[in-house]
Amino acid sequence: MKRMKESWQLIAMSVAMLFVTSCEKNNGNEPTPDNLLGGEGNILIESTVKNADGTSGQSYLQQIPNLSGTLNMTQGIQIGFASSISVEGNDIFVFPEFGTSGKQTVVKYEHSQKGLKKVGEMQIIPNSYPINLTQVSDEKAYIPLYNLGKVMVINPKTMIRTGEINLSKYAHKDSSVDPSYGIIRDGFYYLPLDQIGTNWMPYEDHRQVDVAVIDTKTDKVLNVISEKSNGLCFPTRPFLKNMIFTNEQNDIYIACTGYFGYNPQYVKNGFVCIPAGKHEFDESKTWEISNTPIAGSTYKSATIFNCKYIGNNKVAAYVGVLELMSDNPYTARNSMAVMIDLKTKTIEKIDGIPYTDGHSVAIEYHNGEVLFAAYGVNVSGVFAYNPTTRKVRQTLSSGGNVAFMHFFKK
Amino acid sequence: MKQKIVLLFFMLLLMNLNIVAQTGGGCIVGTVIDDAVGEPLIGATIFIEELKEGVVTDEHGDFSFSDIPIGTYTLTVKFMGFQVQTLKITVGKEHGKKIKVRMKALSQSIEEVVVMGKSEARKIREQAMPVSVISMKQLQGTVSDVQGILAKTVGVAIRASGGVGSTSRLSVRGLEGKRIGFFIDETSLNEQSDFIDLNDIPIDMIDRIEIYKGVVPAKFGGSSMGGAVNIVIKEYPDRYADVSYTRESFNVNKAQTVFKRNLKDAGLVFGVGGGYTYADNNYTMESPYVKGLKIKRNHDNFRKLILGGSIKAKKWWFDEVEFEPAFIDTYKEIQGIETDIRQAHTRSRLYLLANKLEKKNFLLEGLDFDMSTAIAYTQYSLVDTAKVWYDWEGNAYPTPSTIGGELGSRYASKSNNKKTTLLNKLNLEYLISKNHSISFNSVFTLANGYPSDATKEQSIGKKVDFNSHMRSWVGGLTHDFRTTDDRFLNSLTTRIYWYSMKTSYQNIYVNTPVEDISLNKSSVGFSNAMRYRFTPSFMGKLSGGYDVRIPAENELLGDGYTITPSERLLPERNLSVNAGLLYDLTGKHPSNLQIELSGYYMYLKDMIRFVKGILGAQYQNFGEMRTLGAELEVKADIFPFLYGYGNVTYQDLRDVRKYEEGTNLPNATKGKRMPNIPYFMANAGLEFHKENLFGGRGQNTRLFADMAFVNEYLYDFEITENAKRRIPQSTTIDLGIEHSFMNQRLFISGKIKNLTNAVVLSEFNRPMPGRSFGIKLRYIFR
Repeated sequence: MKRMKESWQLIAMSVAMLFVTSCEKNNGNEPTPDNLLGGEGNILIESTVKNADGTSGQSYLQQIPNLSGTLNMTQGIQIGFASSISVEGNDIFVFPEFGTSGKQTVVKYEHSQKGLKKVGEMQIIPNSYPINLTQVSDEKAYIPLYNLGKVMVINPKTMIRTGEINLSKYAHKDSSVDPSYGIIRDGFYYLPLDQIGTNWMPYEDHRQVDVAVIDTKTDKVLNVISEKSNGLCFPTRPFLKNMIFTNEQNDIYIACTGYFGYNPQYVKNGFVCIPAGKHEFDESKTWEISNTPIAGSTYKSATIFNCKYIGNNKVAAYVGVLELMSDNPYTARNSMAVMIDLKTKTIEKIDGIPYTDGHSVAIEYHNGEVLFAAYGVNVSGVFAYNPTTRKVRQTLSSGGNVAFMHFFKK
Repeated sequence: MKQKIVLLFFMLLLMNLNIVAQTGGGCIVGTVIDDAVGEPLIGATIFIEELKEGVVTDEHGDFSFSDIPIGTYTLTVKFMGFQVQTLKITVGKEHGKKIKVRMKALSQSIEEVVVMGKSEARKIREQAMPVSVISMKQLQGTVSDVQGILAKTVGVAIRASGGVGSTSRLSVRGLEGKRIGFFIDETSLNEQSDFIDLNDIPIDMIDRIEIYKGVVPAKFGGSSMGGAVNIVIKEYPDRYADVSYTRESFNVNKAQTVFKRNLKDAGLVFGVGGGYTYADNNYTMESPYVKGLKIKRNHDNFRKLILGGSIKAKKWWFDEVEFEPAFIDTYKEIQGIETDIRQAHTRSRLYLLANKLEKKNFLLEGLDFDMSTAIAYTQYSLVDTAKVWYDWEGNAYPTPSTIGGELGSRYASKSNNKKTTLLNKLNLEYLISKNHSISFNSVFTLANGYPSDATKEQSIGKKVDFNSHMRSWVGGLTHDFRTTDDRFLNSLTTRIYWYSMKTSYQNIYVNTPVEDISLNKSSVGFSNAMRYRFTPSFMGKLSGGYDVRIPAENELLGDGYTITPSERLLPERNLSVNAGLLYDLTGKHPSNLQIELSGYYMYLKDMIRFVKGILGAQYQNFGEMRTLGAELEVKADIFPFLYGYGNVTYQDLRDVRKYEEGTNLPNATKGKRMPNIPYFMANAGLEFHKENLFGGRGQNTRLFADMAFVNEYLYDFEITENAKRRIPQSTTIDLGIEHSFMNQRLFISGKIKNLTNAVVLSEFNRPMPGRSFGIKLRYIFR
């Protein structure tokens, strides 16, 4: 009897062992049309907490009311690692992370001061790497597919694909032209083509700037124009909107990254220009900046990592410094904040902003201040530069990398 | 000893008295033998529970009871170091058949107990270490594979990525990958672990599996950290042949065979064996990335041929000399999950020759010598030359490189890599006195890699994989102490670690000159393990250490397939403390109850972690990590016919880096749980067993049910409250039956895995198979 009792005690223990496992399950809050997520505010921030290698980690999208204090990521919506973001009005488009490991969708959120509402999601071709959105009208937008060499035409309202522009025939040596970040001017979509090889760098026998000119009415490629005079290449980085911009005269300027400062033998970088009203480059306005002295620094620019046109021929930029490159290009703090004058063709270092790595190169211009995201050795966050007073102050500190900023109209 | 002789004499006297006193009735006659070697066991006690009568076996292992009243009796057979056997015997008027009682050594026949037996000197060391043993009983007849069995063990998780043949890694207490030592008969196979899988070892050849957690015994050479798995291959009787065939869902077929011949007079044992596995793994999975997309896996074929042999000599001056050649040929298609991969596959061929030498009293009295050496030559290739890739709707797209490559790596591959490895392990142990022994352990590894991939070079435009030469040596000195009354054991080890690596590096992005890499690093570690026996059934264990683990060659240089090199990887260092309490009634109470509670602390620096990034997967150092863990395991024979077990594992791995790498910035993930590692797991199971359940004779039936639970865990650090990427909680139930005929010669087993067809995703959200069925036929000639 005693043995029987012991046995049932053992069974009871086994059963307890089974049920001790039934813990509460919490699946997190997937954004749905009914709940607002991402926090309150009119400033949209993407932050990244990366692993030591710099090529993996996690990223968050959130809203904050102002750039002050320390960024708290607990309200952030988790998105793909280093996902690119496009904003059109109050619509936010979040693209999948590079590669195939993340969710293969483009997600649309709607901004309100109270939070972000998920309003659409669109399945994409896996590994096609849709990377940005340029809106033509309320019902038409272009999404370049970097890995496929195509442009997907969608209705941004319904998030339905409506067409495709195939650029494959313009590809150099391979199947993709690697379409980057475009801009619409006078009914034409000027789409820079990075034309990279398998090593992610421009082909050595194709060191030129190619731009596809696409008629937004017909979605037909008018032609692909090229600028070969100065050996500039890799026009615009595909997730950075402001590397292609128009000035007050409606001239298009395109910042060219070149070889990201990886190649000591080839550091050409700078700007090319498509003047207003023309579908061709003005070679006289091409400016290769690798030999231009940078006032306040002994370094020179080996690449342009990002830039923002703030008017009056002034461009705030992060340029890459060859000497600051380390073993790991993804974590090297080799980006230096500068002001570039397109007219005087001068570059000046902005003191007070730390050298940053490639995950924090966002630059915005807001309320008369240039806001630089930076991830330095001792400080990180957002730094405000006043072009008038030439003063720098840190406005926001962050534990991770601030990768993207956008200011909504209140 | 004197007491034992008196006891023996007394029992013999009792036996004789019984024989004289009893008249009429039936008799019970039998022999008690060691099941492993077939030798008679002299002095085993046989006790008839109902009659309270006992005898001991004679010099031939024989025993007999006479004049037993007709009826059914329970015989309890005991012998020191062996599992207690309980038999039901029916005594009739006619002369019964002579029964043979096969005794299984204690370490071979109970579930997860402290290893005992062998020589006294070895016992000293082994008993202090936290070790679990999975016995032959648990393995026998099951259609599970080794990993499936290991996964039920407390503190152990299997990080699989798909069906049969898929990449999988063993995790012990949250530590995994190459740091978990993988041994067969104490010979390390870590250098070959990309080619030899735990599941390659036929279950039927395994005597037991020893799982060491926390501190790994010095005899394994110190190349492991956090844990080690040692698969002990069976000893066979004089003549033995074993043939089995397994058929499982998703067109999985496994055939295995073992032949052994033991020429006792010549002291030679010959063996050959092999296995062939063919699997389509064509299960349907739900895409982890596209909601509602069901995908039938169509490119996951796996074929593996294993051939092996062994010659063991017991009379060639050494106590044991063994040569073991082996050949393994593996073909594996690469299953797409994000895209529909249709052509890419890998192929490898491994040629291995292993030698083992053992001698007690080597050169001088009290010195034990044990050396194993293995040389291997491997050819392996990745073929990824498709010119188009497909999405799951069947649309074709040109590959980024015109030369091909559908794996998404932007280049094509058709590699022909070669690797040679040499591993030498030496253990010298000297028994100073009854209480003290000292041992020297050495493990030397040489690995030369010769990658070659003209297609990859052509598509990238340059060579990026280079020859590599790696040497490593771990030397250790151990002192073992035990008190005369065996209450206290202590084992103290110090180790020296050294490795060198020579290779070259070429930046994939730009044409900078090739950089030569030459590393030469050394370090020192120590560990101590102790055990105290409070009562004969209750003991406590405490161990701790500061271990160093040298990066494995394939962690430094990648796998030649999809893992990219990390030439600058640093050795990882672990400070650990393990404490445990064990209440063990094995052999002392019919329930054989065991309750074990363990707790541990680990502080790991420069942890080598497998990370998937946007440009591929690789091993990386991860600053500092702390683990606190607790494990509880209970097992018992609930009834004589019903065995039950349950265990719970909680392992809390946390990032404890103060600052971000290379900065003075506060670490944003400090205190967060380490991602992609399960932290709460539980297993439970019942096994019903009965002889001749369905009538007949010489039959045995086992019915078993196992449940495994893994709590939801996070894919990333838990930074946000919203939309965290999660690997969902899973509860799986397996059911099985094994029925043997002809006194355990013919076995028929069946199993339903994942009975409820639960959705199971492994690390990195890889979908695992759903419900599956398996049946196994096995016949033993002996």
